[in-house]
Formats: sequence, structure tokens, C-alpha cells
Amino acid sequence: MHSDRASVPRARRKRLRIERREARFAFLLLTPCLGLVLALESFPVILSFFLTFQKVSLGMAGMTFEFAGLNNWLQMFSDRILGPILLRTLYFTGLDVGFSFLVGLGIALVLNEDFRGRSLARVALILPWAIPVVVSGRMWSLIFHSGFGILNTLLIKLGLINSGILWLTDPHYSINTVAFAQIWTHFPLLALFFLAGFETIPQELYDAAKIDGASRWQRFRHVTIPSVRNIILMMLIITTIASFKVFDMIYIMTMGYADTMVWYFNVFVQSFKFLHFDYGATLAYALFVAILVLTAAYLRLFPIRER
Amino acid sequence: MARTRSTVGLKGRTGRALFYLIVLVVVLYILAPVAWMFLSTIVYETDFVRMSSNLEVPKSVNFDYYQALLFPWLPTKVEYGVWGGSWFLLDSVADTTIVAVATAALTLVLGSLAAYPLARIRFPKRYGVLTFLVVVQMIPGLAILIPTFIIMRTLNLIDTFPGYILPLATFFAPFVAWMMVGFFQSTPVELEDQALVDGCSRWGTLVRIVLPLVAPGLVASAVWAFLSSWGEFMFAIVLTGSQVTPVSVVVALAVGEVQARWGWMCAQAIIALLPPVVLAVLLQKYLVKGLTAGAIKG
Repeated sequence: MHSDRASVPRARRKRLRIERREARFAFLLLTPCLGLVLALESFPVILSFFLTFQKVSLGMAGMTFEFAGLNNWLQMFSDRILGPILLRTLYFTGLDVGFSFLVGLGIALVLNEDFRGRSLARVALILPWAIPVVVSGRMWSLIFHSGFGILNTLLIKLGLINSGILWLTDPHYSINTVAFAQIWTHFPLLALFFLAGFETIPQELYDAAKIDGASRWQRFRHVTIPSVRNIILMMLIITTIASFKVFDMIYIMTMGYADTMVWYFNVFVQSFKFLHFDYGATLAYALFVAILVLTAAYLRLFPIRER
Repeated sequence: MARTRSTVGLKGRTGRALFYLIVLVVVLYILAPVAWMFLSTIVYETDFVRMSSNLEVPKSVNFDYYQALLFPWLPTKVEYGVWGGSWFLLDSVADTTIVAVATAALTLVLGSLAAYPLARIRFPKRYGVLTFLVVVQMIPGLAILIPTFIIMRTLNLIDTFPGYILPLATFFAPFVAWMMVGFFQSTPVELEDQALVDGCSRWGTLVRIVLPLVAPGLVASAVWAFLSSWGEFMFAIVLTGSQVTPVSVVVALAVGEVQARWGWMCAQAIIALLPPVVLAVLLQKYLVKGLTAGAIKG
């Protein structure tokens, strides 16, 4: 006892020294990653913020910057094309997220069954996700081609339509066509998450529900869905954010023409086509703030609970 | 744990038949579009247009487009149009390989090094750093890309490998770090303690004990980063040009020709999709586990 009491300060000093050494080791490992992130992400984002208060001009001498106060922000709020673009962005996101979830959940339910060829089907599932989006876009453009596309041909042969639909140039269809292609690239990840979630549900839960006389739908509604609640909540926000940032698919399929311009693509067009870096940065910043606010509100409304 | 938890539950002979019909629809939904694009590359364009618009059987099947793209030194029947029999696709595949391998390696080193202390060591501001790495992932790429373009232009790094790889690896690193934190946390801490007690240094413990344990996570991260950088397009179209030409840019810009050369364009697209698809299929087990690990913990 006596010697123990005497060694307490020394032990504490030793612990402090170890803690300091541990912190130094942690710092050493974190530095490369955090350093690059600060230099190549945080710094540009701060620079972006300053750009929103600048007027950037491109001349023979290169870029010149001039303080412009709130001009870019005022321009954003008075820009008449942004209203329809915002609505279209929300519409596109709703389609993409909604159907990606439905298709993903449906396919996960099918692939969760035990059947011959199940593992092969699961391998196939990853394809649409692994294929570069520009390639998927090219592929769907080929299928939706208004002149000789196979989809129009099949629909005409089946007698469903009389003449080919202009899938990518008719504003009635174009945004839906792009959304269809985008859903094809988005659903596999959701299906994989649902499948992983189903694996964690103990069979006993289903057995117990069955003994209690629960119907197939009731078992789905009260056992399956609550068990993957966290996955649904998490993937809902991740897919929504991903959908706001649709870029590749629109670039390949429509370039934003035929009423397919959405907010994020407009940021690109303003910045790198019209070279309005100041206004583009403002639009990008508005989206960033919207995503942060939306995520914070979402997580407050639907907290991800520990099971 | 039981292998199957029947969530659909179609029983009996008709139920089984109906179920296989559903499976067929699912598989067709996934594979048919890819198969159709592949078909467009192994027949001549005139044949393909007739097949696609009138369901006519093509006259011949050949791999001329692939031969012309992959072996440009061989004589070919394919007319190149403006590309004039160049090596551009092979060049571009080589560029993309360099970009994807370098980005994956860099991302992996940055991400896993940062993840270890976040998972294991108690140090001040740990939660601050974790939150920071999550918030950074919510920044829209374009908000970073606009100033990055200005910076890279000023530094004369547009259209160079570092000018593209560094922003890309930095963009991907937070996600890999976040994914690796989960893998580090799932390794037993006792092994590390034992190694430390036995006099192994912190570095030695990390390299010799911990990293082998999280090898599946490292594979998953590397494959994810490779796939993401192979198909990356938005940064590529802004930060690269004629010196560094990722295949995504080649595929995207191929339309700009006088006539749409669909067979030719789709052959490029098929070549561009092969490396990521082969990797994803071969290493699917790791990839899926890595991607979904965070969700299952809840």
C-alpha cells in the first residue's frame, strides 16, 4: 500500500507522457491526409466563398479580380431561369431517389431468396454501379435513340406507339429519360445495402412472427422494414445528395438541352462554358449550404438510432 | 445464422415459376442494355442501324472496331474519320491506368493512415476531425473544382498528371478514411496491446499487426478508389486536356464528329468499362463488404 501511494504522481506523469506520445503519433498519421484536404479542399472552398463576392474577368493578361459586393448573390435571386431549374432539380431528385429505392429494395428482396444462380445474379448486380457513368450514358443514348433506337422499334412493333418518340429531345420526355438512365446506375448500391441489412435479421424474428399469425405483408412491414430502418434513413440522404449532383449523365445524354438543365449542371455551364467563375461559385455555394442545412435538418428529424 | 430468410416467399410450382420469371426480368434489366451495346460494336454500323430500326439480322459479325482501336498498327477496313488511325485510345487507356493506380495508391495511404488514430487513439479534437471528414464529403465537387481550376492554371498544372491526381485523391481520401475507421475498430485491440507490451513500436504494431488484419478493408478501399478514378469525368473534363486524356473524356467527346459513329463510339465505351467491371467482379466480396460495413453497424 505504502509504495503504491508514493508512486501515484510518477504513474500519472508517465501516463501523461504516454498520452502526449500517443497524440503525437496520431498527429503524425493524420497530417498527410488532413494537410492535403485542407490545401486542396478547404482552401478552395474558402476561395470559392471569396469568389462569390468578386467579379472575375478574363482578358489577355489572364484573370482579373474585382470586388463586387453582393452582386452575384443578388443576380442569383433575380435570375429568372433558376426557378424552373430548381423545380426540375427537385423533380429529378424525387424520381431518381424514389425509383432507385423501389427498384433497389425489390431486387434485394428477390436476390435474398435461395435459388439456383443466386450468386451469379448477385455478381451481375454490381455491374451497373461499376460501369463508368459516361459509358452507361452512351449506352442508354444508343437505346433511346430517336431515329433507330431499339426501344422505339420494339414499342412500334408491339403496336404501343405509332411513330418514334424523341426521348432525348422532346422536353416532355427528356428529363424522365435521363432519370431512367440515372436510376439504372443508382439502384445497385441500394440493393447491396438492403441485402447486407437483410443478412443481419435473425430468422427467429420471422419464425416468431409466423407463429403469431403474421401475414407475409405484415412480416415484411413489421420485421423486415424496421430492421433496415437505419440503412433506409442513411441511404435516403446519401442518394438525395448524389442525385442533386447529377452531372456525367446529363453531359453525355442531353448537355442540359431540351429542358434537362438542373442546378448542378447549370453551375458547370455558368463556370466552364460561359466562364462566369464568380457566378458559378455562387451557385455552387448555394447548393453546398442547401445540402448542409438539409442534412442537419434531416438528421434532427430522423436520428439514426442504435438498435 | 440461417442462409436464407425468405422475404418474398413464393411457394409451390407456379410460385417457383413466377419467381424465376421475376429473376429473369431482373437479370435482363441489368444485362440486356450492356449486351445490346456490345452487339452494336461487333457488327458494321449500317448493319446495326438496320437491326436496331427494323430487327434485321446483321450480315456479318466481326471485331474490326476493336482491332482498329486496340491494334492501330494492323491494316483495317474501318474508316477512322477525323481520328486518322491514331493511337489515341491506347494512349488514353495508358493515361487512365496511371491516374487510377496512382490515385488509388495515394488515397489508400492517406485514408488508412488517417483512419487508424481516429479509430484507436484518444487524442484531443478526435471528434472534431471525424466530423470534419464527414462535412468535407458534402462539398459539391464543383465548389472545389472552380477554384482548383484557377489554382492549377496559375501553377501551370492543367493537363498534367499531378494537376489531376492530387485533387482527385484528396477528394476521395475522406471517404476511404471513413470506411477504414470501421475496419480498424473491428480488429481486436488485445493483439495491439500485446505487441506494444512486447516492445513493438507504434509504427511496428501498425504495419506488422494491424494492417494485415484490415487487409480486406484495404482491398475494398483500393478497388473503390480505382473504380471511382477510372470513371471520373467532371474533374477530368476541366483539369485535363490533350496531354493527359482519361478514357471517360474520350468516350464523352466522341460524338463531336461529323457523323455519329455508334459502333466505333460504343467499342470505345466497352473497352473503357472492362477494367473497372473485371476488378469489381473479381473482388466483389471485399468491395461489397467494405461499402456496406458502415451501414450494418447502424
